[in-house]
Amino acid sequence: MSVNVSVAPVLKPEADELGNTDLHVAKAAFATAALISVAACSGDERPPANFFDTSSAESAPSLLLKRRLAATAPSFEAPSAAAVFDWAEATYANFFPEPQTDLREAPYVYRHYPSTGNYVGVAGDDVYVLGPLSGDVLLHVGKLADFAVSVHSDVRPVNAEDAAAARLLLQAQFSASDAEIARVRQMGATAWIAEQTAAPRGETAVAYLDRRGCYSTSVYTGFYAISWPSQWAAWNQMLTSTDAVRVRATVALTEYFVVSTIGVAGTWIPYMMATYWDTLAENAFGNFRTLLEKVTLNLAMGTYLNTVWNRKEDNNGRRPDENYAREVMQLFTIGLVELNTDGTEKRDARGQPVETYTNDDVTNLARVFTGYEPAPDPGPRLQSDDPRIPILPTRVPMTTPMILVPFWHSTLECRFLGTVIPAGTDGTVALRMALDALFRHPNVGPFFARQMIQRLVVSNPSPDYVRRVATVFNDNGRGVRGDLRAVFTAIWLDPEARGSGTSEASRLGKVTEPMLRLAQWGRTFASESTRQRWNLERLFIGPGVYLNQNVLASPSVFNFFRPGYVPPSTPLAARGWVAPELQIVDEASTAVYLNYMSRVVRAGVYVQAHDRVWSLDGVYVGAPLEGVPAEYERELSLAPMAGALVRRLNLLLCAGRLPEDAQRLMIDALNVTAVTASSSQAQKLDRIAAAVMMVLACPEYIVQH
Amino acid sequence: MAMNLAAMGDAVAFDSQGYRALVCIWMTGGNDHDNTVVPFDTTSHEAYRQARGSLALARASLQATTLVPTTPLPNGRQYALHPNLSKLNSLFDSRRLAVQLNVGPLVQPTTRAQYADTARSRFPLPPKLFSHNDQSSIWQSSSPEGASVGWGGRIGDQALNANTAPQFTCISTSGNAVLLAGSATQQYQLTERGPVNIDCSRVNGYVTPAVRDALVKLMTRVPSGVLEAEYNKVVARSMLAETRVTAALAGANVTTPFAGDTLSQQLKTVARLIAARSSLGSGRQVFMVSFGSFDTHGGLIGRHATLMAQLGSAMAAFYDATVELGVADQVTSFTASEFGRTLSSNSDGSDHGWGAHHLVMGGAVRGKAFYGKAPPVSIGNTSATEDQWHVGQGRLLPSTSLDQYVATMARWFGVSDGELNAVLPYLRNFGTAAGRPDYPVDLGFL
Repeated sequence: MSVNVSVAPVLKPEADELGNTDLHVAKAAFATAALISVAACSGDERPPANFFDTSSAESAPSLLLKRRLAATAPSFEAPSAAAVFDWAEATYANFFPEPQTDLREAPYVYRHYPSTGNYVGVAGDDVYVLGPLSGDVLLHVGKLADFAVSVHSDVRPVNAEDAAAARLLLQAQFSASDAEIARVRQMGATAWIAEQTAAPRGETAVAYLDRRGCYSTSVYTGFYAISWPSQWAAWNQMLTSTDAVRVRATVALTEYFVVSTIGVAGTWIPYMMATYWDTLAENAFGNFRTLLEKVTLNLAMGTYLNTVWNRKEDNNGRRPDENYAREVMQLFTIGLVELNTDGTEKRDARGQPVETYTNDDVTNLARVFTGYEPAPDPGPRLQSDDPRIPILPTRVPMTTPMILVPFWHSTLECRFLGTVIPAGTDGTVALRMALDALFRHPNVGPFFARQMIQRLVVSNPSPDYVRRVATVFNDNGRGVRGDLRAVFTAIWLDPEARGSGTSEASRLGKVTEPMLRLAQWGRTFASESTRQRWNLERLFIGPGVYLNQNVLASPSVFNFFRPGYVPPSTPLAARGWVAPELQIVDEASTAVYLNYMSRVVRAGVYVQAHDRVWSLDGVYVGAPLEGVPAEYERELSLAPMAGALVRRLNLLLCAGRLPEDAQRLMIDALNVTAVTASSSQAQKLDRIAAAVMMVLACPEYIVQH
Repeated sequence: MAMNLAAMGDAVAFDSQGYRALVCIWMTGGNDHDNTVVPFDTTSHEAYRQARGSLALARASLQATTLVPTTPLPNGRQYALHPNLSKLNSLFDSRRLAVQLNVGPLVQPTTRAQYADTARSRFPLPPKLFSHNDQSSIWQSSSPEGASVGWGGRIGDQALNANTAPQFTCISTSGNAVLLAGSATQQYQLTERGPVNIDCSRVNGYVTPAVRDALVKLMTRVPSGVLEAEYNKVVARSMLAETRVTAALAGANVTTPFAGDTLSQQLKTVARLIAARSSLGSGRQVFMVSFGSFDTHGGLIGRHATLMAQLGSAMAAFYDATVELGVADQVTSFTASEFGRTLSSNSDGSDHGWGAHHLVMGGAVRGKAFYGKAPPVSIGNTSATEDQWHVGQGRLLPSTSLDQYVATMARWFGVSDGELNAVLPYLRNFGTAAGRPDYPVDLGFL
């Protein structure tokens, strides 16, 4: 039969080209069938009568089937009818669009596709098709067993709309689930973001600590003296919170308004850090000015950048501590150089950047941040169960903003950035004036916007993207400056986030931070019930050691990496492109990441129960190991089908970005070891772990677009 | 030695001499130099004590660590090391350790009046002074954050021919550092315990040989995206180098004891890498180790003392290890940090500064000596002479430029005079050729 070449592509299957001649025959059949089709199915509830006359079916073994015979392929068991239908829907979405459910009428189990009028059915172990695709002639396309290699091994593209939904989910939260993908598709990105940014807050970090019994004076837990429950509280939300979008924004804020448990010691540190986290979370979709003041007066920030106990000058040369005054300008508000609204640097007449402040500005502004102390402890003080432990303060000072003690507040005139706070101004008024002045500076919008875009979407946003978000920061459309809900919404809904960048640099994507990869794994694969049991005592160490990163544990106020980091000796350096997260990517950190995750994906995260293993006097107290197993509830049924398994991981973990050659490598490697529906649970988990690990090692997974 | 090398010309500078290594000991956060190399003569110490209040180390506590140079400093100036650096005193006395006074980034020789002058085009300053990240970058590369080539990498570029395995020319034990990035030179990173073996196929049963092969292919292929490709390049380098370095280190042990802190362990690994230099094909190397935080806005006395104890014992052990390996004359170590700090106190700490004192150690060092000028101990803002070498609160205005400090070491390392200006962009503004013999290109400590 002759084929009209100009028609054939219209009906070309969407599936991958494997270069085998059957495919060309199949194409010819499709083309011919379509041309001679005279009537689409009318949408009757019952299939046409000839569907059931299997004895008259014509044989067309090459219509759907493509045989790919890998030399190493093990023997596969015949797939189920449903598996063949699923495969057909994924592979020939043009004929079998929109997943359908199984229908039954003797001798068939079958599916019907109303929008194309096609049927596919299985009777016994024979597979038939009918509809426009077959010229309304019943075709026998093979036995179930004939489809085994294809069903188990084909690289199958993910649905484009699913992928787009997954992409939004991976930018705006930590992970994507089937239900969330469906919901985003149903609502659309705008409505979904609006809903999520208005969602009620989940459990607070302080409430979590209370629930976990961390406000305990027991010598065996020593919770009053250790810092790491700070990380448990944060990880608990990263892994289990119901308001994941808010928590994702909160994590981004912890990398902007950085406070770290490294170098902070004292009593009830976890409550101080949890209060800081809650402050960021509570105001993540509030106003920047409010957040700035709450951050400034928070005891964790006061401790980290030395506002607490900061004393006014004296006559012996003592001067106010400059730490917060410098960093609140350099890192939290205006940055070092004057910016245009699009985030690019302004230049002076000599083409040089214009610095925003001098050291005199720092020295002056430092006076504003003097006189602060922890809130007083109302008592009563707490007694430990070990009489050798001193009586402990309550946690109240750690969960309460710092207070101003006027005696220690500098009342000298303060001149900075053109603002004059007169001598003798009340300390509270001075703080308000200073923060107002910083908040009003035109740098804040582009400075903050660019870094939040970098944390959530892309490393090198186009100036237009920054300008659009900064403009929203400057005015949310209702005359309000600093509306963070509007700013984050603008970041996630921007054409550059939902579509693609307009320049090469803005299309590079960004490297996903290691701690976000672990959070994604946990949210994607641990079951709902398991996630509620996350016990994070060991996990808190894990990320720091094995991921080179842990939440609330930056090595300094400059975060784990700098927004302006240019990886040396790379093509990026030649173009002046930044890649902040590559600052913590090196020969050692990439290796420990692989080693750590390779254990986690199969064995789960094993942890010590929350009691301390050693008492303060060095006696082994013991604690049972508890685990968050790698359960893969939803993946287990896919384990026998490597192709389907990889396709699912590609959608959920990579928003469909895995290249075909990489998927092919993975599927072939998985198929070397046969796994069937009757394989043991352990064999299935082995295959799933191998598949997940290969995805986690793939650079197309590591880099998010 | 340096003079001879320079005279030999560019072509042979690097391959005609034996092994040489520079080791940068980076103090993250800005070291409080005033409590590291402490004014000790009674006049200076009294000024120091008055300016610092509770931050001042008592003069009595400094007796044991007083530095007695071969040639006394002018005007009766004397210094002592922090008491916890006592292990370095014997190195100073045996001429293995020198002190470089008040060094920091400068574009050109600069006075306090010029610093205060707003005519910046006439009196250019290093950009973004007092900022951690930018001054770190400037110390390592002469440019603020965003720089992609550092001076260690630039001299590494020139040393590549001396190494049969160029990938081990510049090595960091503490992550990415722009210091070690060159145009051709790529830094190699390992942990303080050595390279990390990717063991997922050995440890996990589910990683079958087929899966392992696929993992290797996935991680070493060249993906189409730019970031993806860079990530995979790092992983591929990690795998290739690990095999080689682990094998080389297996036979390279040092018996000199090192303490357990991170700096000691990093320097021990550097010593072992030097021991393995033949099997790694290394003739010239630049190393970077780092520790801290030195950002002592608060709790200075206690935190700094701990860090000084680590610095002192780690440096002393490292010197001993180079003696053990027979390379003491071929390895020069030096301290660096993004800035010094204020002399004045903020009640329990000090704030960001500029110039600082630093230590240079090794068998080739002309030790038992101070280099540079001892800055007056003052926090005043007057036109008096004693207030001309700080820019407020005792933040030192450097009287020796970073470029001179580095040039002195680069010449020893084998960089020719002709190439120094390419390594150090502002060096041309210093030295006799620039009409400033008071800012010599070679400070003479090597």
